[in-house]
Amino acid sequence: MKELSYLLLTIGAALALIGSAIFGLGDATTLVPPPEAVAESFVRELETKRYTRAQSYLSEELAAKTGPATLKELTERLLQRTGKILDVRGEAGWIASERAEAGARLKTELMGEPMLKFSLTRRAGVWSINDLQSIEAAAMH
Amino acid sequence: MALYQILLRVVLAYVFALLLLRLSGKRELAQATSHDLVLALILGDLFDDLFWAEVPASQFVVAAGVLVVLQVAVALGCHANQGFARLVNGAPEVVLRDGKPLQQGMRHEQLSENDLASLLRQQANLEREQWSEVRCAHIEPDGEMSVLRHEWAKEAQQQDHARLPEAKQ
Repeated sequence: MKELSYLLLTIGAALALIGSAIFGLGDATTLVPPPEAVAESFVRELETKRYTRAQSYLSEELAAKTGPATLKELTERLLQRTGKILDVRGEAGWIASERAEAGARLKTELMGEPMLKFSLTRRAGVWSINDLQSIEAAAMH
Repeated sequence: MALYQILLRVVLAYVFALLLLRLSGKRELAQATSHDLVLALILGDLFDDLFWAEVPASQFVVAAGVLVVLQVAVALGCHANQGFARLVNGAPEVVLRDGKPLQQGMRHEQLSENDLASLLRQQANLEREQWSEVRCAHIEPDGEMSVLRHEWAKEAQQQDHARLPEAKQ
């Protein structure tokens, strides 16, 4: 039992350390996925048709009105224009306090290497995507 | 992604893993069982996610921590209760008795006779014609083979020297 208590204490101490780095020192890119990693992961989830997981990268407000079905429809329209997505790479934009912008550079079959830009907000230390305008625009034009 | 951020994440993961291993006991490294191996594989994947910032560090700490806590709880359970240990780790399987391979044990361990011969060569220095020296060979829960020889086949020890006729003279 002593071993378990020590382990739980270690986990607690590690969480406290991470919490103080994020909330005390304002870390927004080292101990949490930075905005560009969020953008990249979001597009990768869409590309692999894991819409429910993709939804978890959206802010609460956006996720409330953008369900997996909407993301599926959006992705299908995007793929009609871009063809197969061969690779996705996150690109850093700017960060200002609780807001940020980051991009996901796609390598596509039909459209070369378009960039999808996302604005993000930070809640409880974690970045989430705030709008899908860039992806909607890429799917339409 | 800046290199210093990768460095910080690697250091955090390394120190955390080191503490977990230290606190969970030395058996993890030396006496790995099948579920230790599964744990090591899952932890490896979790490290990868953290290094490339695919998950927040807090999620890594909780996931890796809970896995190790469960592992230690199971190990403590095994220590306290033989029945539980058998349920979790399985029992040693006899694959050779009195020099004869046991088909049931070999099938359970998915061993062919060639595999058995190879194990006996590697772990007991026994060629096929020496199998009659073996009283019993087990495949232990950690996958290692243990071999018990007949009394007459054991290596001579110092006490045996006194029994030699020349020593008596």
